[in-house]
Amino acid sequence: MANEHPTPPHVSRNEWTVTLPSLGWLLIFVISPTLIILAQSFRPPDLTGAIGSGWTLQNWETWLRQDVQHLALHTLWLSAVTTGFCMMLAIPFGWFMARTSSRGKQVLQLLVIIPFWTNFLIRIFAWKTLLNQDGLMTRAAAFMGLIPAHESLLYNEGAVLLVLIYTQLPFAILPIYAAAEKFDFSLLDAARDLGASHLRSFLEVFLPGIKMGIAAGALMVFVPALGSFLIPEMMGGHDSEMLGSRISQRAFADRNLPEASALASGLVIGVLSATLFIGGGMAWWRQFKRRQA
Amino acid sequence: MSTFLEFAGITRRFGKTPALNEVSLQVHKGEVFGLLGPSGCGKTTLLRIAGGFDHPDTGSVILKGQDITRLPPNKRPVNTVFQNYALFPHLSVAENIAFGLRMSGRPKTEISRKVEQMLTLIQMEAHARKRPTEISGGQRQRVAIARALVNQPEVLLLDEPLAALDLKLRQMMLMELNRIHDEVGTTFLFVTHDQGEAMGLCDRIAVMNNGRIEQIGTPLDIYSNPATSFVASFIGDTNFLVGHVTESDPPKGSICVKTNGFGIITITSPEMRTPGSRAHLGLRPERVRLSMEEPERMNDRVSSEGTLEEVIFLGSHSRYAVRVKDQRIWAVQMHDQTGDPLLFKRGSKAWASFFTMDLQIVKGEVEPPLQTSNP
Repeated sequence: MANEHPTPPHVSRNEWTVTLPSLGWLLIFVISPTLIILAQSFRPPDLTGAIGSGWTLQNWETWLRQDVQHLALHTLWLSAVTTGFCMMLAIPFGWFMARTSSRGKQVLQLLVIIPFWTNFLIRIFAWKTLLNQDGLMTRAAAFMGLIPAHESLLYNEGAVLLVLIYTQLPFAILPIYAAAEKFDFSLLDAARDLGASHLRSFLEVFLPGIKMGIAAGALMVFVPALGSFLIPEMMGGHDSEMLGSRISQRAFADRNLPEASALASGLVIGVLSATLFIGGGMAWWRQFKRRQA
Repeated sequence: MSTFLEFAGITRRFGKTPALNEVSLQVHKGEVFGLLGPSGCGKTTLLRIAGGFDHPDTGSVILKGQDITRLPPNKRPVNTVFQNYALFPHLSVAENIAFGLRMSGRPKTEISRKVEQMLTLIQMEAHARKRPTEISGGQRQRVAIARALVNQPEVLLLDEPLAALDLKLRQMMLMELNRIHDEVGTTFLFVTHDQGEAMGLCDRIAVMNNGRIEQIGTPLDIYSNPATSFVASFIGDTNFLVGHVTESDPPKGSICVKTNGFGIITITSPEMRTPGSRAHLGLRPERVRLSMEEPERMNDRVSSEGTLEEVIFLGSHSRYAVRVKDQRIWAVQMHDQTGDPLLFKRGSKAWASFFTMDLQIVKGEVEPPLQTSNP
């Protein structure tokens, strides 16, 4: 298909003028703030909470502290688990959505999008209401004997994961559904015809067929999860802190903007290099396999 | 030859209308069997039932004496060449061909050896590493055939395999399919709506219409002795002379039909027809002869003078519509027969003649008028 071929090197002038507004937007609202934060991370902190003058590496030394490293690993772990659950839910959902009637598709799309009409904070508060001591879910769980009565489901890692998955799920579903919608389901007939079981045709034909959707969905879930700070702060206890909550704490509570900047920049650099590394690795692997075949 | 694949009393309904209505047929080992009919006649449904993608409401599918009606597709010793080929886009040509062998867990050395053999059979050795998107339509088609054949199926099911190709390529692939069939000898069950394809490739054909089988026979059989008016009009072109039976004499083996425009015609037929009932006589356009002069009178020759209403020049031959009273019949003349193709002009008078032995009394009502297209 067309996307397998590289775009021609000569990009017309017209295309540039069309791309310019979004490039400008990116430059002003994404790239320059990131660079400003990066610059800030090399400034010394000021006791009054302002940014001192001169340059220093002292803020970056915070990454050498064991608790920060532990926090980073834990954040990676929570984000990975969130991504895993989102994929496990979104792939079957995307399949079902692509196979259902066009009326059903509209309804399901609406159901996926409706939560965005409500403010993010309000949705988190809704979960607090559901999960607190007298909340609906708590009482239901107690009724089924899963937890002792009047025990809150809030302020633990499970609550953080639950709400992370809940908020990120639409971002997993939409790209996967878009890929599944374009998937040619007659390929599964062909796989079955050639002796594949339902499971194998799913694993060996459907999943590779929507792999771009899976990659996009995973990225859309994983990266924002890495930076989340409201959810661990509001749903989590002392054991479920994430890197984002540490950054917000440094910035807002401690007024140590340079150290917050160092933590934030480290996160950005980590995500960027990981993305480039994985992307490059995959491209290399494709080349390698093609040459080997 | 013994029965190899059998459909016994297959009925399949979608909603209220039956897509297949009590369809029974037997396919012999090693033959190319065609299911021919217009779209919606049920031929594809029958093929999907053979492949295990659909199940009949009643009736059974028997392969080599075993009832496979309820077997899922992956457990059947049959393979399908899909209409859109359904090649896996994320796998190379060689990996596509290897897919079935890999699913059945064959050892790697065997897989690569068999894939090599298949690539040779379809003459695609040079393209083994390419993706399906990087090869042409005809090549994709060959890969689809190889991918199915490599599993050594008992029956190869082909669903309109040539429909997506242009005319030139279709003719080449038709020869290619013939060659492949000669080489592997697998039983082919071939679905098509194109009578030319069916005639060119199949040993026997079942002509289907409205979920029923109208006739089963060799291409020659079906062309020269169409059993029903539908078959006669679907396979090639046919004129239908409308008339009434004046006399029916089965012991003598003759029926007299009073026709519009051609008088009373006596044809041989052991059938019994009630005098006075309507009858349709099928007549192939290429059996009608045109001449400027009245042809010599013969016992078994029928001739009438009429007006040429249409003259269609088609290169090697021309098609003419002749009106004789209420009857309009088509004639096809090769130009070497009639000499100058410009001899017969629109609006001029001409004699149309044919022999009574070329007439077929057809069963069933004649609905569709003869098309002008389809030269």
